[in-house]
Amino acid sequence: MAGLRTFDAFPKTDAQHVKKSSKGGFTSILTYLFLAFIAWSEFGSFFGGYIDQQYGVSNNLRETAQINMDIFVHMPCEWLTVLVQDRTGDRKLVQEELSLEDLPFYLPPGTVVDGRNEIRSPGLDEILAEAIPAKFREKLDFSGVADGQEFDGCHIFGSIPVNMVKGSLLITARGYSLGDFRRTPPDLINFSHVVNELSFGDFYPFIDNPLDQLGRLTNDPRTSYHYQTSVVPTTFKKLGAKVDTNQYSLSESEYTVTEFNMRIPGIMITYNFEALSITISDERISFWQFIVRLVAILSFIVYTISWTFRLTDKVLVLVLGPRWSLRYQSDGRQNTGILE
Amino acid sequence: MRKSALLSVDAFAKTEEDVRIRTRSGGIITLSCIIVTFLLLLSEWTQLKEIVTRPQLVVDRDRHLKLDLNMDVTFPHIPCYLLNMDILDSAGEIQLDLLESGWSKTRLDSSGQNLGTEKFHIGQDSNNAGPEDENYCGPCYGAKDQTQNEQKPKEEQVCCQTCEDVRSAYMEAQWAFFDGKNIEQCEREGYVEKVNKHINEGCRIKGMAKLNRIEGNLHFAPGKAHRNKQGHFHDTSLYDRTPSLNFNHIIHHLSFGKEVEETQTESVSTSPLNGRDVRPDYDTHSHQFSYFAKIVPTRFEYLNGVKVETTQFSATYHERPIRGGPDSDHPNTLHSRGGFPSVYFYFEMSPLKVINKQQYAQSWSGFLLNCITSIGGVLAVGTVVDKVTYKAQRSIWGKKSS
Repeated sequence: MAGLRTFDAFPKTDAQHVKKSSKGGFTSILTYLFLAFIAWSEFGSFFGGYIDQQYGVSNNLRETAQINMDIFVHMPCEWLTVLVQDRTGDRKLVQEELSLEDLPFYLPPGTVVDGRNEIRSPGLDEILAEAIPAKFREKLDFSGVADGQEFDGCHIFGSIPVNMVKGSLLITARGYSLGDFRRTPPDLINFSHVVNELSFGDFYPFIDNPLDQLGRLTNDPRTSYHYQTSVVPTTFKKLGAKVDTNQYSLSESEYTVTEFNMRIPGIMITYNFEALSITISDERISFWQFIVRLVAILSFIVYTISWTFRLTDKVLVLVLGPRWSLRYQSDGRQNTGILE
Repeated sequence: MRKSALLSVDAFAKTEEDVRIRTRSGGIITLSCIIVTFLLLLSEWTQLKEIVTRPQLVVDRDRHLKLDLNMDVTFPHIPCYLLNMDILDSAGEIQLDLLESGWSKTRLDSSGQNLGTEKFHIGQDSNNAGPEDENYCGPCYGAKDQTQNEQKPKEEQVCCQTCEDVRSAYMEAQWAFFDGKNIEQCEREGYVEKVNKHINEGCRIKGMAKLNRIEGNLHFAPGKAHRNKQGHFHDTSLYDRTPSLNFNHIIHHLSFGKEVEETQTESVSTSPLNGRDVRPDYDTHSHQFSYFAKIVPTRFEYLNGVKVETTQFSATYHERPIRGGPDSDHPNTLHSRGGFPSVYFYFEMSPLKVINKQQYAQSWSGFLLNCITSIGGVLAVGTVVDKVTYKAQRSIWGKKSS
């Protein structure tokens, strides 16, 4: 038993040999406060981690990507055609897969009309908080509440798979695309619209996209809108949670259809999928590393403070005399060091 | 006095040996501290060995460099002599019939067995010398204008002496050649017989080519290529007539640069199409298969100083019937009409370049610092634990147990 005792590297002084000071006690309290602060900030950097970005190229063979859209157009649904054309030469009548509801055209609250959304890149925490997957609701029939009155708007919404190549989604009036013999009366054409949602990949309605809540109003039936997007697949990772989504950059233009420029009235959304994908992940040091670092920093601070305390004490004693000593009660005894 | 002044600045004030108390619990704590320190140092050591990849995005400035295309593809249902590969890019550069220059074509029988790499020479072993008649001038079957031959001397006469001559004449006239049946020269050379005998073979092609770093496409098509104002065409007459042929394919390898091996920390996509096997169970005789590859130049910088300039790419697959219109699995899609049965690889370059640099997660100085921190931290914890145990022991059992 005595053998183990010799290993004791932490010699303890009997209580009678330890002297305590009242001023030293005050310093200790300050020290503990400071320690708590440091511990807190260290915990913060541990739980907050740091952001690591990686750029990669997907090695999965892809076929389709999903477009989620929710758009109000100031035209009755029966005169609208929605189709997708892409580089493969495919032409897809996505109208069949989307829901088109007749509704009175209105601007939902919070719509930015003829302005632009504030451009900002959402943070990791924000994305993770907003990444709640959802599905579009089923199509509802509002003709019962119409009272025979014609609705002047169309609500187009749904998720559609498209070939994952460069392509465009076109909302146009009937008779302006191929293979349709009913031509929309020109006075009915009005491509004023509100984009409530336009996103690619899994549908997360709460994640903000550059086109969301954007409205464009016009009275001219010849006004058309063109949005060009470049889609960058982005993966957000934090503490085991993983969100696969797509960010896109946006440029928009507005043009007027004339007899000469061969354009067709409508809303065109051109998309292109970028090869590079971004992985934004929240990295952190391992927990044990953190504990060791925390303890080491704390003990370092304790040492530094006790040294500073002694040094100040020494300086005070040297300059102003022993009465100013922080360490001992001024009981008249001369104390220059513990060892003496 | 001098000694005493030095002593007074001693920051590590020591308690004299006779007032120090050693306890059994203190010993145990010390031993466990040593073990923990040892383990921590070990983990620091393994972390020193850890390799991380630091990515960097730059704009690719090496556009004048060529891309190396490496390819190894098997077509189980199309014979080598019918297979053609062309590369067209947006700069207008055309590389036709690449398979004839330096690529290896391996003939495969219907069960996939190797039949040898030697080229299937058309009309080589038969009486290739042509007819004995010195003044023979073979007909071109209207593919060339031979009406003026009577008036010309022998050297200037337009003649189709061999099957190959007739074939190229047909090609120029953009006529369907089929298998050369009823063409005198081809029948004599045994071309017709040979073509029909080998029609059920497969073909494995392997080779490399240089591509411009711009948009373009590479395609495999049946029959010789020709161009006119309307675009790029192939003589698909023989293919169209033989319903057993199709462009099912197995991609053994396809990359646009050097190969790099994958590490655990990162996934590398230098050849994502390797091992792809497209042999659908429905009839694909008149199907076009397309791959859309987006190429990202990438440089890998390894720890040992090796730098590999290569490319990664992502691929999208698409297939459509030549007749166009909807197909069974895409009821709302109208595929475009036209083209020829083929396998297309469209490629496109990204202007951004990724530099993946491997680094040690920790430097030596960081490692040393961490070691010291570990030791210090453990000792600090040890001191606290020991003080607590000592005080607890004293208050529970009194002074006796010390």
